[in-house]
Amino acid sequence: MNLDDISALSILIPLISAVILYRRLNKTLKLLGVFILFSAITESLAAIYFEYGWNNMIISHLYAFVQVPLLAWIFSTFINGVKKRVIFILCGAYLLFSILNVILWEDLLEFNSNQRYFAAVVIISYCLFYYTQIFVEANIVRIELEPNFWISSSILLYTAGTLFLFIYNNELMNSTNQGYWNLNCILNIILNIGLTGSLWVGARKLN
Amino acid sequence: MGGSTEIELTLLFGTAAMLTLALFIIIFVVAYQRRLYAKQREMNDMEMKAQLELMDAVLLAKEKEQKRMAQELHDGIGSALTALKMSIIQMNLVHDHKKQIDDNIKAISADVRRISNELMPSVLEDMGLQAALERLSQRIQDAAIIDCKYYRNYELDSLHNDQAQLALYRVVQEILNNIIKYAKATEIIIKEELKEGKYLLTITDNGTGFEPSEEDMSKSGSLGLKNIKSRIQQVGGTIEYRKLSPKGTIVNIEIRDYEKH
Repeated sequence: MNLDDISALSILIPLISAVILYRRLNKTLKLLGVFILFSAITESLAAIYFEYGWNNMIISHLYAFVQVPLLAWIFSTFINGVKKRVIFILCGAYLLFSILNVILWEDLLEFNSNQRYFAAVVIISYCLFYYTQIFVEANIVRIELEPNFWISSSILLYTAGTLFLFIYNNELMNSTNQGYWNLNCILNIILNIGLTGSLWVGARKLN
Repeated sequence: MGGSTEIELTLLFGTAAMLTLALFIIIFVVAYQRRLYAKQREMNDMEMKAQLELMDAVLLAKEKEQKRMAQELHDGIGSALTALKMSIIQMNLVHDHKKQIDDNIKAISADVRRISNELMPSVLEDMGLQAALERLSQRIQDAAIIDCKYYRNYELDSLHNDQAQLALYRVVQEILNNIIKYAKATEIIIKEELKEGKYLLTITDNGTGFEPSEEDMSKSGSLGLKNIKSRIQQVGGTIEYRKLSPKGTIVNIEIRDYEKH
């Protein structure tokens, strides 16, 4: 089993955790469970397409198109005030851009670098909104026991770490250097561990 | 080939920079949040301390005023009653009338003494907490309402300073009042102990049982409970109410560094 396989299978950890803990989770974490399930399905589909030698870029477009609205929904459950409105405005702008991107620049059979870049900027903004809210409200006692902090931090780390990878994806397709893809795998494993942490911490907090 | 190297370099530095930035943000959030929380807790502590000091000042002012009133009653009205008694003796009145007036004056004098004593127990000032608690339990016993007993396992004249003695006396007074008013008890035991370097004061009754929640303690109506808590904090102690099975209540007051108070 290589690092690629371990990374792909690591989604099972938060997925199984979400199934086990589902009844004990709040709205945010239930939505996170849906997000994890969606990621697992798209990853499996992409793997099947790849196995049969079909172009799986359409899956990448689909994933990026649904990922941001789902995350916007998740973040809107714990971000309040004006920032909550900005979350949806950014999401709307992103969806509009995604459609224009397919029509004008990167069709469904090409890798969606532009869309991924925009998605990363929007997602990083969501994480930063949450961090500023922590400071403004100042009502968290132990941040390591805060599931929303686990969600934001693992997503921020993955998104920031893979931003350049997705921008230069097309150029890297022909590269023999496996290091970058290994980095992607490691960050993906970290993301899944972080999301698992948020589920367990959240379930414990609510009980 | 040169383009590919350039892209790989951009990617390498870009990814390293983004990862470092993300890590920095996360570490900053954790560290800053901890500091923020510590500061907030410090502010809350300060606020609580200020509230406690204010409560202490109010209680102290109340005690001072009660002491002044007790003295006024004893010296002013007490002396006036004695003077009145002397005048009546010198008056040319029928013996029965004289006796009746004299009895009334005696009753008024006893009432004045009792009120003055309740406002500021002279025995506490003169003989200390142990004697005052003994006297208090004796008074309840004499009134024949409840069987009230007092025990202690040490002999010391001044275990606490005057203020701490007064605070403890007031607490016991308030608890006994509550028992008499609400508990329907037939027996009360007051016990003072020195155990493992701690001063313990327990009041046990066989009444209906009472265990106030935190909510009860903070209710605006329960001034008595708040006063008790404040006075115990004033002397650096803790208080715990526990319902007994099948009936009754035990109130445990504990002071660790009693020598300081």
